[in-house]
Amino acid sequence: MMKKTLTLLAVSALLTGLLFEQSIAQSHASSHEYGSEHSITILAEDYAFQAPDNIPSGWTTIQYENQGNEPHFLVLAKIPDGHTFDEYATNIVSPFNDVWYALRDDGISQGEAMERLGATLPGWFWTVDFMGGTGVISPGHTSDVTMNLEPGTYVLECYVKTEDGEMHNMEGMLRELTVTEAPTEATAPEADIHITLSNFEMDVQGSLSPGSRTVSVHVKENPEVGFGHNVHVARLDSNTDVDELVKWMNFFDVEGLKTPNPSTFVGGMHLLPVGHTGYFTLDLEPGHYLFVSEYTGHMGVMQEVTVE
Amino acid sequence: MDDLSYSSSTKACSVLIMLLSLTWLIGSGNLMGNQQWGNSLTESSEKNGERIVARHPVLENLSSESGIVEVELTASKERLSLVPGFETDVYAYNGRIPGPMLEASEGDSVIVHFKNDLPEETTVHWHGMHLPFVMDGSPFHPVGPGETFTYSFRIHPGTAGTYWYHPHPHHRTAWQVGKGLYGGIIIRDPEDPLPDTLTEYLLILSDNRFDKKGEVEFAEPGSRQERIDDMNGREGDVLFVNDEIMPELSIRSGEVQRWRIVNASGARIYRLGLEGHTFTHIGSDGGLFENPEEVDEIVLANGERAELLVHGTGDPGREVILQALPYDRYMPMWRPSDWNETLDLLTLQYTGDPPADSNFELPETLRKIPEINIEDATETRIMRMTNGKINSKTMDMNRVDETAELGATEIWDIRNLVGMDHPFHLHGFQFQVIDRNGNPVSQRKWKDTVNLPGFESARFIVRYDNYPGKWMFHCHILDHEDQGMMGVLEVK
Repeated sequence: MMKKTLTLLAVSALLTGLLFEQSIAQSHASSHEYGSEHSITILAEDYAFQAPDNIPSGWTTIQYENQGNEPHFLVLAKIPDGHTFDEYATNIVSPFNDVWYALRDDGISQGEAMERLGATLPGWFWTVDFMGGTGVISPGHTSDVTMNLEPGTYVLECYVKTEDGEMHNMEGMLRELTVTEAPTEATAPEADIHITLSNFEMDVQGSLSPGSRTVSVHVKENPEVGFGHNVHVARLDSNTDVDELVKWMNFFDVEGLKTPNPSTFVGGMHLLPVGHTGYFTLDLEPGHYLFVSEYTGHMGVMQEVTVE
Repeated sequence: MDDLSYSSSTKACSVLIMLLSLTWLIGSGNLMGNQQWGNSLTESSEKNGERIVARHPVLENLSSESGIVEVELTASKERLSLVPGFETDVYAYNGRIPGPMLEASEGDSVIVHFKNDLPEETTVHWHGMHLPFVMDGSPFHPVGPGETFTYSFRIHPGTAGTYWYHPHPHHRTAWQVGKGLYGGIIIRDPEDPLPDTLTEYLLILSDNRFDKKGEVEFAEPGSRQERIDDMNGREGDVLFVNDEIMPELSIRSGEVQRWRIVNASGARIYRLGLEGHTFTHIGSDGGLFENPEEVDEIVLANGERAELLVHGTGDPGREVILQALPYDRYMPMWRPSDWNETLDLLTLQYTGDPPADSNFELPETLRKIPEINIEDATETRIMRMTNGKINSKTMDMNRVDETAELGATEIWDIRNLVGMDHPFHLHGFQFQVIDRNGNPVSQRKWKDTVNLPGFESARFIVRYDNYPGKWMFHCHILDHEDQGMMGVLEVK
């Protein structure tokens, strides 16, 4: 509880710098009545994705394999109509990189970073739908995620940082994916662990016992300002400093999301719109885990889990 | 090679430097103006005892024996004027930038007595040539400062074409080429299907960046510019054609000229267009095509060559510009703001003479290119290119990445996984591109470098004839090569 209070205080400074409000994507059709057998593989390496250029819409399972030597995640960003992959790269990724450099090299505060972002990001950034993806995945690990993808132009992205503090998307982990309209009948997977994300809590329920588990992530609420909630699953060992781990999850921290990863990351679900549900698989072994949100983990959106 | 020979070579260098300085004095005063001296170096001619071919001084053949081309080449630090009004510390071959042209014919034996007078290791890589491993000038065979090495190799039948030479030391290639080390090669075919009466130009394209004092500028370590150069490769804002800025070539209305073009730039890719004209594209890296292709423009990536016929379809007195048209080779986040500017390279000035009666007839077939049969391929090697790495690895001189048998036929499947162009170069063996993004190519061509635009793929077929060894494959953006975007194929 103390941790939650402190982290809330810490992030409030960050968020007060915001001059803008995120337009939170509205809930899409209920996820469970649709589904498909759509299944693709996306390989991550240092620093690129191997991925198809086109896939059909509907419930889609992505087997995400990290074949690199650095941690990688996958963000699926749906670009609003009238905008392009190129614009996303130049008008969104580049300003993020500039602000990141100012944080890293010029020592500006996190609040100032957010102010600068607010001033430089185009208004349409706040209409980008982040449609899921994976949590941080450690090198050599694989994660299956399932999301309901609507037709449109998407960006595949990883913005974990290199050891030198360079964002992976700037290094090449930025790729276009077109989702085309297609009839689909498959259903969403059955989950045995259920996570609900809200302001500012992560509720984890279900079968927290060893074995292969399917985890549903439902976003009940996202913050009015800033970025949304997501889930990253880190396996803890006796040497893991949870506070350091939570700090590491914060992109805006100078050491945040920087290689090497401080713990073994085995799964998760990236940002989803409010009302949406995504799924990921998890091979649980006996031990301790931290389920933590990237942007809001230090505000308390996390939960330690013991698997016995 | 004895000392006496080098001594005479040094004297020759001094004369060349004086000549070069003088010519820049004549041409000085206008950075983008036409250089007077360049116009005198047209066609085959003699100047001050030097043989000039295709606008280039030719390395003097010291052998009187038929079938032997024996030359001397020295890399040294020099102070030359590259841009009018400035002298610049450079590296140069035989005191020149570009280095003198190597000219030989199929069947010749070439002997190059090389001396490294640089303060650092170097090599001379004979880009595109099929030759023994130890003669390839790869990073495996550095020549130390003050040392000599004699490169000798035979020119195989079917080799005729346009090539170039440049250094290839590990981690230092971008620096040494940027300082001025590169030169052209023309290999002749005694049975060339095109008449030798065509005016021939060898146009070596390069770019460079200079500071306010006129010195070659490289990014400061740790600077943002260094980061940009690491990603995009180092580009310069001063564009050279051979040793000139915006030179003037001459053509007569009705005339047909043969242009050989080399992209010697470390990173800049040229999309070439000649206003109001089309080109007949007749050859690429490994020489002539089977069939000429009519094209409006040519994209020439780093290390690539093109042979073109330029048809003088303009009126007497007309002036047209060869331009580098906008070409987007960048990841959007790194794209320079001026990427879409059209840059002028040279002026093609029509003489006032009345149109010539061109009796030139272009053969429908220039030569037969033997097919490497796809059924003979015993292996497909997948190369995943990311920025700075191939198959997730950076270059390690102590590691062999791929192993193949001498004489084997194989397919290489080159996949560019990122959003910028990467030109892929294989040493030692010319190959034939089979398809691009799954679409078959229009005709067989000999290539040693294939450009992969962002997220694109290409497959080529190659046969490892004659020469075992450790052959480099790499991205020919020189900064990427230096970062380790390179691997080793051992043929044994």
